[in-house]
Amino acid sequence: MNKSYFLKNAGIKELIPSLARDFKLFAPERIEETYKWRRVLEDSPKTPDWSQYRTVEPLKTFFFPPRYTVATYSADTPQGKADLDALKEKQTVLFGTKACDLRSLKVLDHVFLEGEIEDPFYKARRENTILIASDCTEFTENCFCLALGINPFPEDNYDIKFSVLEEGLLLEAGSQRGESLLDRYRSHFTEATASQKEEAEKNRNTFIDNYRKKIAGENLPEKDSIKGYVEKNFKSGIWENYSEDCVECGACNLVCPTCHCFILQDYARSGGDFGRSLLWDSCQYKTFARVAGGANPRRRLAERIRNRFDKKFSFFPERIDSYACTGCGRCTEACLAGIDIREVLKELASA
Amino acid sequence: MSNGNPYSPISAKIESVIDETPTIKTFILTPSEQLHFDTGQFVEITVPGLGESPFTPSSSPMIKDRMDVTIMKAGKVTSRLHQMSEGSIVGVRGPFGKGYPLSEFKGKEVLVFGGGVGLAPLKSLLLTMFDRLNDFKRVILKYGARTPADIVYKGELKEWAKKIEVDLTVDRGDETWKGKVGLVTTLLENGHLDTENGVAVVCGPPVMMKFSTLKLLEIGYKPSSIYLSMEKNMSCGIGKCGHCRLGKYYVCKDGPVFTYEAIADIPEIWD
Repeated sequence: MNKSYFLKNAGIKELIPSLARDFKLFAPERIEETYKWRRVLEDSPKTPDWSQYRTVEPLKTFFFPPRYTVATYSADTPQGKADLDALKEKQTVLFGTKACDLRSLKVLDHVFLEGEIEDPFYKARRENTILIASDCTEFTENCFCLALGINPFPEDNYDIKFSVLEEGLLLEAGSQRGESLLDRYRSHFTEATASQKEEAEKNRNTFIDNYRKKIAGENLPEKDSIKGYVEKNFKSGIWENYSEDCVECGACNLVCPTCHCFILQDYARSGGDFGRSLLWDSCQYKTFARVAGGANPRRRLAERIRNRFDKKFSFFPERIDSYACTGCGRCTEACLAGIDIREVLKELASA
Repeated sequence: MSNGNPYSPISAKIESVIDETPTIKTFILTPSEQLHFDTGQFVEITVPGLGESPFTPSSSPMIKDRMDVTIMKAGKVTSRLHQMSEGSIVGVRGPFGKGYPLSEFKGKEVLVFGGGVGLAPLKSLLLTMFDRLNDFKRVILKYGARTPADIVYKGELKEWAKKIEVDLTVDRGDETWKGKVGLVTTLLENGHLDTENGVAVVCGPPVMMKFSTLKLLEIGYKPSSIYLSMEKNMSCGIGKCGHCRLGKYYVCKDGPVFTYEAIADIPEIWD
């Protein structure tokens, strides 16, 4: 087991400016009932808010931004190069990532890093980012990670995890990189005592008991049963019903921590040069699967809604033995039509 | 791929353009770097500033310094390509996907079955097989087009008929057409084909692929012996952008060639 450290509240005020000086530091900031990632600068007057639950933006925004240039080329020599140096200049530290977003990395890493050809942009950003993750201490009304077998505490894919205690933070490394970072700022920490670890454990238990009660009240389907739902309901009227409400805005894809689809878009730059952007796409858009001749395997919205569930609950389990859903509830929160992913799953279960 | 960036094209010069039909042209390209592709693999061609589309080269992979691509005018990129002429520069990325599994065809009768512009990838396969015809029990080309004017590779077809059996049909004839008239699937009737041990390699428009597969199954080909080119909306070419998903596969990475057996259980594959 890794060693645990304690950082007292007064020490946080000293550590944060050091981290902000040495890294590109981001931490969640509370804005009314939500948290949003915010850059923390060395002279930021405020100590970050220790977020109780996940941010509005999914973690993918740091590794796979909504739009970025992947190549530039000129008309006579369309020969671009990957400009990765800028991505490697200063390491990014994310102070307060949550379990749902850590789980999304299982999907994103598979898509962008595994297989014959990796995405050099994702790789550079991912390798250049240190993830300091923290326990959830509250849930939003749309959270349901627990129903998918994900605990609301950092369990994998983090460099350092921490729990917020009355008097400070309890920290523990989860990777070699996290270990080195703790070593670097060792003077700020004391070794954690047994009672501090107990306090963290007690907080976790109290929270998860509350969370379990909420989830139990929602009567969600058993997690392992979801895999066969789309196939079983392929011809069901459920998709048609939801297509009457859906407005095809694509928000569910954009806020989803695992949705990774994108399009490549070429554009003219000044001086006769051209650029190629990679930008997020949505499988809910009519043009997503259309080919030039006009054939479209998912012409109807119902087919596209079904596609989204098929990809999340059939395709990924088949490929990586994991749903491409982390129960973060962001799609429910974002949906203009009020479609709740939990309700869809419940309907599929009962059909 | 250029400089380790899978999204970046290399340049290619259009050496010449051949008019095949009123809507189909063949572009002879010389890429700035040699592209080593297997027959059946595809490339993404860039019109600078406009975008990319996927095409399977129609030339033999044995020719290293040149690549022929036969393109039907169908959308934005292909319309612009059709306006381009000798000396113009385009971009190329690739090759992507898996080619035709030639080793699986060894010793067997190979039925090459094409419709319309679908003969383009099959031409590359034929040229590859011509270099080693003795490897196969028999090679037959059966091809259909809408009208005589829609037949691609008219000159080559005559040459090929000297090497292998070539069987043509058109949906609608005209005053000059003396050959068969009827849908391409009619070429499968009484075809003296080795449906037991032979393979059928099919490429054409979606509706042709669908009815051809049904007919091939009906006359006795095994689902594992029917090879289909499932051309979807391939964009990134490397299984990341999500556009060309077909069930548990990405067409760009796991295809574009699949046996019917591999995809038969996926709903709505012909749409």
